[in-house]
Amino acid sequence: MVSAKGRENFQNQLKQLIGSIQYSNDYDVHVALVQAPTYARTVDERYYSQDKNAWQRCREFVDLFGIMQKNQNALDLLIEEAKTTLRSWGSQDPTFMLTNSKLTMQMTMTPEKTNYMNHGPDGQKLLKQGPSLPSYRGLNIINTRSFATEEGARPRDLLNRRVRVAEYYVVSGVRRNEPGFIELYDQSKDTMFQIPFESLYTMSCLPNEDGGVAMGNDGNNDGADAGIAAGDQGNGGGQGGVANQAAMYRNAMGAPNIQLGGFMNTFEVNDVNNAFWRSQTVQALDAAQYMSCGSFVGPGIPTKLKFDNVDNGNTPILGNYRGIMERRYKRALPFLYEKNVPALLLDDQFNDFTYSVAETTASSLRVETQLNGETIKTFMKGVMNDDSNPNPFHFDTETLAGVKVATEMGHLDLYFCINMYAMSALVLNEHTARIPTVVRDFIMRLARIFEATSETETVFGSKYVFSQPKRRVDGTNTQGSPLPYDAAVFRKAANFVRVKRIGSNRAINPYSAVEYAMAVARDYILLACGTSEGDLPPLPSYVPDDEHPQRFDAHLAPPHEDDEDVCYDYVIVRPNIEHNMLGVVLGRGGKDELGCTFWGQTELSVYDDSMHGCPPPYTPPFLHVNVRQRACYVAHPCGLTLLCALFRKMGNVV
Amino acid sequence: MVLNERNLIKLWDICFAGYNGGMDSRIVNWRGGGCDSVDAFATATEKLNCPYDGPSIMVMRFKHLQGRNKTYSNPLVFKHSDEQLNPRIDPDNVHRCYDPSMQLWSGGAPSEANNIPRWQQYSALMPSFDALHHHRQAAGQNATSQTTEVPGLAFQGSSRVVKHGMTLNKGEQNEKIIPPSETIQNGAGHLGASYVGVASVREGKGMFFNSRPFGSGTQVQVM
Repeated sequence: MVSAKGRENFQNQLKQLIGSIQYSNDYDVHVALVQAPTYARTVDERYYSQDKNAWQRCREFVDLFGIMQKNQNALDLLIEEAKTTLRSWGSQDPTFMLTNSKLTMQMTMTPEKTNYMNHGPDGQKLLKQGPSLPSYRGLNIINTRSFATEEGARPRDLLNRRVRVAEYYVVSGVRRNEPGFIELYDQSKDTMFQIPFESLYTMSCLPNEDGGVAMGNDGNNDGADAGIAAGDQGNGGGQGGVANQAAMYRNAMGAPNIQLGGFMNTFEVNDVNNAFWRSQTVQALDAAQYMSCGSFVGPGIPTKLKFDNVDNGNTPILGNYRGIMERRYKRALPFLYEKNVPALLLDDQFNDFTYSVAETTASSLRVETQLNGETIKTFMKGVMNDDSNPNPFHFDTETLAGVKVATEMGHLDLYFCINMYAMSALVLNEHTARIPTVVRDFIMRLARIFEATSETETVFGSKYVFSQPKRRVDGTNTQGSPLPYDAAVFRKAANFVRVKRIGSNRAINPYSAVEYAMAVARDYILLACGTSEGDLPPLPSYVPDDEHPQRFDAHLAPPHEDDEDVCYDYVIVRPNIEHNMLGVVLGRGGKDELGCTFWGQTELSVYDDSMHGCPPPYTPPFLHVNVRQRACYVAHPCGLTLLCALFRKMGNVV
Repeated sequence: MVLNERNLIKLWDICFAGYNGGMDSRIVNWRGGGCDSVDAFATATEKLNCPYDGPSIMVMRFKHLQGRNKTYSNPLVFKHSDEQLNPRIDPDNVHRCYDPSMQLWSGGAPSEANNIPRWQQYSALMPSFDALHHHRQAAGQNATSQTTEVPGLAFQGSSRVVKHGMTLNKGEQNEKIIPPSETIQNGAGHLGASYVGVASVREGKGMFFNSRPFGSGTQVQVM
């Protein structure tokens, strides 16, 4: 205090203290203003009759929401409307507007304000300082401050709050198998995305309902599928622990080169006179249901999996096809388990017709390099030994995680393909519609588990299968797709992957039904199976409706409720669309207008935020109002003590 | 405490200041667990002291009323409640704005009544939107206590529905061709129209287009 420097230091400290006091004071005023009851309630209670009905009131407040972005003159509108309202309450015009600077910022950016050239000499000054807005329409602009009200939380503006609004969308009159989608806006990514009707159906199923697509033992993952089908690329949700596990391995091993894909072969069977073909058709569908195993292809010389020990091509497999398939692959499994053979080849070297059927109706798992025996066991057990659940795609999460582990731990390329024969209209008619959905959703699920991204090399057979068919093998026009989807749907579903023609990877083997099918399907959505006996010629004949295979119907026929004449309405609700929203406070203040609001009439308040040691922020008992309605925030005890002490010491310094 | 509220007007929520969540593509899974499950959805919904982080979309399916083009209310009470509803729309909870026809399904028409049980099932799985809405504080209290405001009414949002068309009873005498169609609906709620680019507007850094980017809301046939 003796030296000038000391006095200056003390003065600075005092200013800091005053600033702190002012800060607390501001906070009190903010709280008082935002928590003040609205006079509209008084009016509402006094005059019970409403001048507007419910719909008009809704519209009024909906329009007010975010009006600053909706209307360029919003603030003018609001101020004038506020003035009108205040007058209707018998009050005078407001004098201040407490607002976040964001609201006034836009007004300072208008061409009138920022066209510096037109302002003459003042323009240069304006250019240096930037436009300011001390008042607007007769109102003093008071920018809000951010207050540190909670320890550890960042300071915040009291006129900023989190608000959720809800939106709904309706898709009306959709038939069960009707192809189409709804397009919605994703604000997190600022993009549109699509949800196919099929996903809507699945995602609207209640817990006691079968969505038509059972995707896992826990049934937990359907949501994720729909998300991906909707083009959601980066959403890591939906697989919970598996996703975490995947991330863990990914971190540990680096990004593995995963090839993930699926393709679907669709063919027509026109030759109803050929009983063998009929049986194959049903077999294919059966096998598609019960799925199967696959082929493991290693880096070395492929070893052919011997199915000959199980049965031969003459086995009538209509009735017990599942059992045969299981026997086949269970026979194959010990071979895998015991020998831990990394290389088995199933598809490319199958020349026998029966095996071709087996192969083409099976799913195949091809791993390009060595597999860990245990993980193969895990996977194969999951695939084939789960008799409790006949759904072919009923891989549980653990199993799929096992595949992933195998893939990533061994730095493997995983090529997971699903061959699914969907019979087209002539034999099994509309019932086949379920199959593509299952396959597609399964692929989507895999994609999510493996975190397929646009960088993931993915083979997806849409090129072959999903292109719009032009004509059948007999030369007749198909008049559109026999399946209830078209290429566009699946292209959307494949947004997250790079669609790649499988044919570019592998040379077509004319003796492989799969390869042949794909080759043929480039131009037609049909398959004529290539066998060692030559290609079977399709014939232009048709199956009457009453000859639909009943077994197939029993498995895949939709329930009565799903008849195509039954229509649904989908009501889609987004109940939690949350934004931070800003508000403004308009009122009368200043010393000339005592009793209007607290603004401008507050005095010192010397308790502080938690950073300065005084515990609670605003506490009503310490708010005192004098009889002349001059608002006066009297001090918090500790601060008051401090301040008094300072006054005593400083004398007239302050 | 303000001495003379007659001189005070508060206008809440007039300016967007940033998006938190709830408008992405995550769909609530009514049937299972995981991070998009009903439980996770309820937890996220009822967590009002932090920005929303949970699935966004609930899909409900009802029987279409054949031969009757149901018009859905705007706003819509999307959760069934046995209690008497009295939702308020304004931030200060002053104005009542309920009309019975705002219910998603009302028991007035027998055909609609058939859908009520299913709606009740969905509602039983939903978070307690009705209670959250009913007990919501005034905006000032919300702002001070950093509590999120939860709605009980949904407004019509922007969407585009594309039907590719199909053939019913193909090959039979009563074969019927359903033509492809496209229906465009502009948002008519708090958020107005939604379109690519509007995210920056809702961050508080732009203005809405004055035009109608989505179209007229009518149904058009696509050839």
